[in-house]
Amino acid sequence: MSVRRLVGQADRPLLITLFFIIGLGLYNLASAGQPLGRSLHVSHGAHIAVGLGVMATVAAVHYRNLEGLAYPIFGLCVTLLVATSLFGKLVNGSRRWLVLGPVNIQTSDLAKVAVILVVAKAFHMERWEGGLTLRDIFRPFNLSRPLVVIAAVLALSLFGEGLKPAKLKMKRGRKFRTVQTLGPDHARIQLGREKGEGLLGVKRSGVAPVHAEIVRNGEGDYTLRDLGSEAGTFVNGMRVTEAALEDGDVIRLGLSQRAEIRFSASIQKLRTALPFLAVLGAGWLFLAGFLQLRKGGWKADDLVAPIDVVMVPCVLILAQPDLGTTLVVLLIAFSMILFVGVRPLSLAILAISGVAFGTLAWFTLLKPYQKERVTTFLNPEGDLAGAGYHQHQSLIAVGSGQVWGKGHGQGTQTQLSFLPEQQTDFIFSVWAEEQGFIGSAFLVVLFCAFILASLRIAARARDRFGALLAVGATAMIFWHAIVNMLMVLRFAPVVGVPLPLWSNGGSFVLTTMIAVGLVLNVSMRRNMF
Amino acid sequence: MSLPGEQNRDPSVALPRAIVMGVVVILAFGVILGRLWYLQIGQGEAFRDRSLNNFVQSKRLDHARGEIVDREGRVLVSNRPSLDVSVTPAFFPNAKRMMVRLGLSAGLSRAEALDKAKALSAAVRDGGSAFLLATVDEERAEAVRARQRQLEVPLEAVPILEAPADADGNPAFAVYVDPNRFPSTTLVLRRLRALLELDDDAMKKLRGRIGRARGLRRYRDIPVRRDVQPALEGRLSLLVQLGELPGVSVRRSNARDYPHGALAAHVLGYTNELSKDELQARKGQGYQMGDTTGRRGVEKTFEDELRGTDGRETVVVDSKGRSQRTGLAKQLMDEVGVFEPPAPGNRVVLTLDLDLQRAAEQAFEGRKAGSVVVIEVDTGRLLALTSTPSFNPQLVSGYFDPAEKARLDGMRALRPWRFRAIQDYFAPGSTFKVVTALAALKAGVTHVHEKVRCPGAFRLGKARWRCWKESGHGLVDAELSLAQSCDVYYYTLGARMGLDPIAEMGRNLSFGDRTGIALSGESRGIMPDQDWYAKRELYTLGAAVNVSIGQGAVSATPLQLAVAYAALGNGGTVYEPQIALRIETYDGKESREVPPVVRRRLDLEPQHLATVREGLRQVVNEPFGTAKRSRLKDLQFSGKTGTAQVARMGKKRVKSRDLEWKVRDHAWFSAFAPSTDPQIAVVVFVEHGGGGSSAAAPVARDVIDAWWRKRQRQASLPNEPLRIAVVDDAREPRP
Repeated sequence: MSVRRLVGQADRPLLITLFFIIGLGLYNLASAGQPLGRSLHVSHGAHIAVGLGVMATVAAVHYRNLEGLAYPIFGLCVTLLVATSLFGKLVNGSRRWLVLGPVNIQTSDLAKVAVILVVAKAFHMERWEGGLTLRDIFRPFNLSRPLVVIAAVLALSLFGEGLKPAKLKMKRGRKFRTVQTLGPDHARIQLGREKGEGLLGVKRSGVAPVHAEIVRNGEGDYTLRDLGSEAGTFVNGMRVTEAALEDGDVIRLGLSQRAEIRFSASIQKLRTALPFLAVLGAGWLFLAGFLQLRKGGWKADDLVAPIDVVMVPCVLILAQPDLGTTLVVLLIAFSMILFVGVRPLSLAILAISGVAFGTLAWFTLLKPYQKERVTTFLNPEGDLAGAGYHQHQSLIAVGSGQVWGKGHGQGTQTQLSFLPEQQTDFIFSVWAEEQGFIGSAFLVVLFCAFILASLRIAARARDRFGALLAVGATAMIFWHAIVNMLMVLRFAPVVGVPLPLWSNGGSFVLTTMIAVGLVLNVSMRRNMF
Repeated sequence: MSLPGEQNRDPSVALPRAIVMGVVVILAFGVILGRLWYLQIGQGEAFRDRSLNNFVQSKRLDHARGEIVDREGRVLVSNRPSLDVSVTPAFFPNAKRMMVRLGLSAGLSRAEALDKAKALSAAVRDGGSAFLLATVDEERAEAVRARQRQLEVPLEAVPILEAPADADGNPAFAVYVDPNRFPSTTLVLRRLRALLELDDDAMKKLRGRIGRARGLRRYRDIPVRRDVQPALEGRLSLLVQLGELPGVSVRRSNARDYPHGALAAHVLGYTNELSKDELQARKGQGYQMGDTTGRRGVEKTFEDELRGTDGRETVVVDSKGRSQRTGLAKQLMDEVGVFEPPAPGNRVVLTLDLDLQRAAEQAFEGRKAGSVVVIEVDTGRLLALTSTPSFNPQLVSGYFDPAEKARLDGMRALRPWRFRAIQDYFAPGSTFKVVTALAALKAGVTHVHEKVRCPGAFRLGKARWRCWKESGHGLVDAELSLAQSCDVYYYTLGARMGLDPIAEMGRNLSFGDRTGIALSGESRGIMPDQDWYAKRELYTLGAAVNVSIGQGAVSATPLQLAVAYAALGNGGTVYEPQIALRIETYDGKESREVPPVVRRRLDLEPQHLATVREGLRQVVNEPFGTAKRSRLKDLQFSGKTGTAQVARMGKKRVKSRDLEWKVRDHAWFSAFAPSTDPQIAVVVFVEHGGGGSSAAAPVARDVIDAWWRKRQRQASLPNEPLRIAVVDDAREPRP
């Protein structure tokens, strides 16, 4: 089979739309880079060039071979994710980047590709006709489920706070940052004006040199004691001399709003749930074991479930923490499983329990500041100086583009730096401002055409694995594009999801090109055996 | 061939699912398209305006406040460039950061470098001396120098000295840090403090404001001192240019200039910044933060004329508020920029004559407190208006000079802020007798030739009033009663007609009500009548007796007396006293005259008026007149002395000059000149000055003399007499 014939099989509509998107993206980045004084289109072009090479390579290997490599690749990715949470570079309180010599890799990007491969692998042999039930997907009576619960109970009771230490957080800029970790090593922390050994510096007006102290009595059990300060110590606005701290309490030294310290100890809630969890785990294990015994015989499938290949990376990414990427990975997997087919009843149960869980979480689990984030999104005008500012400026940029746009390099929001993150998350705003409705509608249609072209490839794939692989890759690009656009247009909260092929950033460009490579791969093998 | 699970590889089921997904995809992108339509086409206009608001900032263009000049165009108040010093917290040097980076260049670890930075801040605070940063080899020394240049740290702040070579004989260098030269916020503030001589209070305030500036507010200027002494200008600019004062900026602006210092201070007033509350109250009039406004005097009453309007210019700014000069910015300026040139305030031409004003103030010198009023008899225009003691508006406007503040606070008892000519009222004493005389003649209780016997005292029932001359004046008629200021004559008339005729004549001559001068804070004075007394105590004829010689409740401002004597001089017309002659635009192209205003024409018998004027002439020009010592050789003028009692006298007569200053009599002299065909009226009031003839009359004489001599001079130069006067003053009116 000649290479020429192989290339001739490559899908034209896909490639044409791809090159249009890439070309316009570079043109747009040239404008976005101006106010930053950087030639972003050059570095981005280099990433794209490398990406095209990677794409060709991925397309060249028959995807049947990839099917065989799925689990090894998945294993490698999970290893990288674990390594990231252990040795990753700490940026703004989360570990997302793994530094390997001269390159920084955002390992969760690679995990997206791995999840596509491995979900395709795990689900393509499932029963497609008639659709899957929830039980097929989650396999609640497989032994691994109760075992995970029991392992969690054990870990919590053995290591306790070591796993999730209590923390003191203070507002730095717009966000709360951990300023002190509590635990057996820090059994007594004093709060006061000056910094020192065992003394947390809170340099705010009205704070005494040694104002108050926090003493550890046991697992997650902390007492706050005022040390005779003049201005007083407050917990949730009430003046106290001594108080037991609960998760989410706000400690204030004196009257200054800026001397607020948030106490966070999620271990407390977990500890109260521990006996319940233990009983649950034991009962579950018993039931699962009984069912297993009755069925007789053991298979590897009886221990784990296909959905686990999604859950393991998701938990690891969520722990980084990176909520946006976790959501995207879930959406990709969900799209693929939907493509395999899910029974309508199961879908309905899933939807209802999702809403129920959300409501429950709002009233019990979510802390006030987390609720605040949600309300900020729902009512952004209330917080223009804070989190709402970015989207506000983005909306102005988009709206002020009007029909024809302000022209390349002429967007005031972009060129005068009113637009935040204009080279990454808000790159679409730059285009919408400078090219107007005509330009942005064209881009939306282009992306739509690209997604449809790759769906067409999935529909015409030679086999189910190929179809699923193409759907996964398509889903990845689609969800990124749509979530990014919704965010830019304030139909979704700011979650930090880039626009594929447009946002500046090498790691994600490569990931996207791998995904396109997978789709091409499937398209090229359509008529071959 | 059928492999296990081959049926599970059948791809045909993919198509319908892909179609469903395709529909979902199209719907999703449709939502995006709809949203774009709504934002860009539906709301596009509104968002365009909001994006304009983002980058278009309106900048004010400063303008000059109007000048104030005298009637001959000589500058009394104008503007001069001033130097304002302010600080921008964001541009203060970050000593810690620079120190750490220098330390790293010198090969220290981050922790060591941080320690050195701490040592530096301690040394800066405590005024420590230079300390060793590190001993380094040649390569490191070069690195330190390079970093230092990059950070713009002055060379002498980091002296590098040769140290003994190391064991291998390589040269070594000791890098020192001099805390007294290393740029730091503390050092900048310390230098600023020394330069501007700021006191503790000012420093505390400044530190507080700097501390409170956070985020973008750190880029905003904080004013430290407006109008720095010109002597400091050179040093300040030099230090700023040398980079010794990073974060400090020196800017030029307009300051009010009062070239004649305290001259006519109360008339002119002064200016300073609007307070927050005032700003709130005057928002509608376009005042803004940092604007100055007139305080007191012409500066206040003519504020609307003098103020002018700011110009406006648009500036393109980026998200941090920095103005932009890129091609895009220029293009945007062409599209949305506006330019409105500033309009300077109008020039107010005063009726004052600088020469006469100066003469009046000079003539008054040596007296503690009081006022001189000179008014044109035939127009009501004021030629001079003084109030002593006075303040120096130059030192009060904008930045209140501490020395001047101390001086003014030191004489608080003398009330230097008080504009005595219009705000304070006092018993007019014998100068009031003209009113009694005219009232009695008009009422018909006497005639011009009637002679009244003065035995030195006047009895009414049980009460007894003394004449100032214990021995009595003998037979006295109207003329002589004025010339010698016989009290008994007036007691008699007062008792004959009662209070109301006197009050009516007084009111007609402008007593007891505001004269209407265009200066704020004018007092009414008191012109009591029967009702007035009945409302407060009991009205008895004794009240009329007291008022008849200008004692009792009657009191008047010096300006009221001047208006009354001007009316005597011009034959009975009461004018509104005026301070402004004309309002001109700044370039003099348009002007608006302020015409004289007649308030009242008195219906006086010519014979009565003539008698009173003859009496007043004799006061000065006859050997028996009370002010005979103040007569002029070549000019006859008429006047009346007045000595108003402040404290009730005991049985024993005490000479005023033996009393404590506070209880001494007030001295008055009211006059018009020349006696025949009067042109000007002059009133001199010396607070607690003692006798009118000794304390007040000589001042009036000097003023009249000055006026007469100037008039003579002008008469001898018939053509364009005003030119001479303009050349007289060194300052050219600013265009």
